[in-house]
Amino acid sequence: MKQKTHISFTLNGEATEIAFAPHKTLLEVLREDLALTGTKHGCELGECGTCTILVDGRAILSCLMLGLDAEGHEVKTIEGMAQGAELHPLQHTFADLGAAQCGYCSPGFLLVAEELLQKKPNPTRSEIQEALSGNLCRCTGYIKIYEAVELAAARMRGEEMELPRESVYGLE
Amino acid sequence: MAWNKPSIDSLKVVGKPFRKVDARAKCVGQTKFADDIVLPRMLLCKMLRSHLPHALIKSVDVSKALALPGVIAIITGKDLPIPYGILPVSQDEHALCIDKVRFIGDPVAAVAAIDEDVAFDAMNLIEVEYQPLNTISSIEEAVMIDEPRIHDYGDEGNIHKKVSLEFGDVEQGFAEADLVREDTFFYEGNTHLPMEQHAAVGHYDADKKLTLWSSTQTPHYVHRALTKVLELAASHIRVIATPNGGGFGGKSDPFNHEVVVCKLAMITGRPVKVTLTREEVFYCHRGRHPVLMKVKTGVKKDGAITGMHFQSFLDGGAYGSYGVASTFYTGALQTVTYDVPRYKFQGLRAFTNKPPCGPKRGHGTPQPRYALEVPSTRSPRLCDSTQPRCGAHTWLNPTRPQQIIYASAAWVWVLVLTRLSKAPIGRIDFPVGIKPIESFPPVKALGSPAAPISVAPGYQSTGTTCPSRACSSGWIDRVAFA
Repeated sequence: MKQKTHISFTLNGEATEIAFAPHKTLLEVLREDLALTGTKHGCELGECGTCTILVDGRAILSCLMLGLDAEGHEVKTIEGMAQGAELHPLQHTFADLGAAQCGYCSPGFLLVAEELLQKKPNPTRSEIQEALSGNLCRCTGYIKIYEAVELAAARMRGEEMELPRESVYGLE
Repeated sequence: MAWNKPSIDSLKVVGKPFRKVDARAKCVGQTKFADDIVLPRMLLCKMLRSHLPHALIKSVDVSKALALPGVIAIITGKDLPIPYGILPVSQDEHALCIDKVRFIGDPVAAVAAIDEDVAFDAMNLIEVEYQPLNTISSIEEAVMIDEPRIHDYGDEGNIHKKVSLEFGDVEQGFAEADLVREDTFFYEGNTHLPMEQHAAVGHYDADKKLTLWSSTQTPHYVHRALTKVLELAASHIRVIATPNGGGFGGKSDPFNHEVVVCKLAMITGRPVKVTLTREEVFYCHRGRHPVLMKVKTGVKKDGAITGMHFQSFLDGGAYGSYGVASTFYTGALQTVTYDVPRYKFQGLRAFTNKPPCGPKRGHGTPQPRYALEVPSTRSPRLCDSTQPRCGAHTWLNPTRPQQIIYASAAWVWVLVLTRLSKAPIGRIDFPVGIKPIESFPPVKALGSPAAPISVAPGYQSTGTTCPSRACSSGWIDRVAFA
């Protein structure tokens, strides 16, 4: 039988050890060996952004990274985004504003948005568009996703913000 | 740009975002899509697909693949001899091809193994001997070339189905017209591309009950197909439609991979999962039909239509799928959107050696809408210049309520497009007889005169009434840049 390789790394804040076939991508290791199926696959070619995770705080396509290369790094998946039972503000706004429709691309979008708000607490709409440009969504048309990021950013800054209405009413 | 937005603050539902009941689970990664399901002792399945577009299968040898350690079972076409299909008139698919492959991607054999790597290696050890046949690759070829036939059923040669519909005397309509236009259009087709690839898990338990989890939009049709192909009592089959990572029509047929994992689960007594690669999703396809369209339209100087003759030729690909319905839809809904007093429709669906086409968001209706809007946009130039409103809007009859819905829906979409395209909000002329609602903002022509945006709205039936009646929701099919 094939030989497995063994790595240790930090996964969603917890020290983790895992053995797997050395040719596996980190996406496959997460889904198949660690049962974290929240990370999705869309193309497995680096085109769609669906498998995005955070490695040392940076958004990475897990379909293009070998599991072996996670050795010693801090990996965060969608399962590690909430603080215990309390959702991340982005998770709240994505759910509340219809930014997650079928939900398949949502984990990738959420983690890219988290990285963006870590770096830029008050991003402009074009900065949000730029940051999310590597992720494809086939349901929402993106506007609700932009609005959800803007509302979460405002809440994380501690500011009041009226609920966005652009996707309901169009341009005023 | 100031306009009187309706006051919604006093309302409880209108204008308020409401969280979907399952939205939070989707945002924390808890939602279980089909490929997220893992069962104890589960096997993984890979399907060997044809690399030829049209060929007879002379032999299939699975002996080397079966000898590979970790391979539990392999099935071929002879294990699933009963045909199925979504429509009763098109029971022309086999889960695995028996004596003939009809497009690149048509599956020939399926492997169940202890993991996906072993299944993949075994798949490549299966030896298939083909005898290539000439390829039918376009609508024109399908209509002109009768042999070889892709299927041994259908109206004639490689023509799957011809349909027609007619009312009034169109020739009289053309005689009464001030202008008769004849236009030919080709719509090249597209595909759904949901983010989630199709996946399915089959499980046959010791009490002879079969369960299928699948990313399907049509669990009841899948249930019916499984009952037929597997020869099981309907009460012994349970089909669970998992949450779909997008479908858009592309998960609406009973698929070969769904039948295959059920059969493999019955043979092995273990759960079997298949997940298609992105490439395989394109073989599944069932996308929007490419359509060659010929439309002859008679119009008066004031823009009123006197008659229309519409012909559509659909590239159906290798199997029937929903195609007979799609063919009907290309013609049946033309007379809802505009006032067409005399109408003749002739539709034809052809078999070609390509992945089969089927339902995608409007199901045959959007293609002709584009073909109809382009001549309507062009007609004004040819009409009396003293009639400034000659154009699409004069084709509307304000006494027909569905056409007023059409106008309103078109107006909303112009607004949405303006927003998305960053074009300045302009003004559109409302159809004759329809007054602008005062709380709407002023509208005028969009974009630059050199590149106007046209909206091609259409109708789709809801419920089960006759689609040619006014029973529609006023949704918009697609946008044509005219």
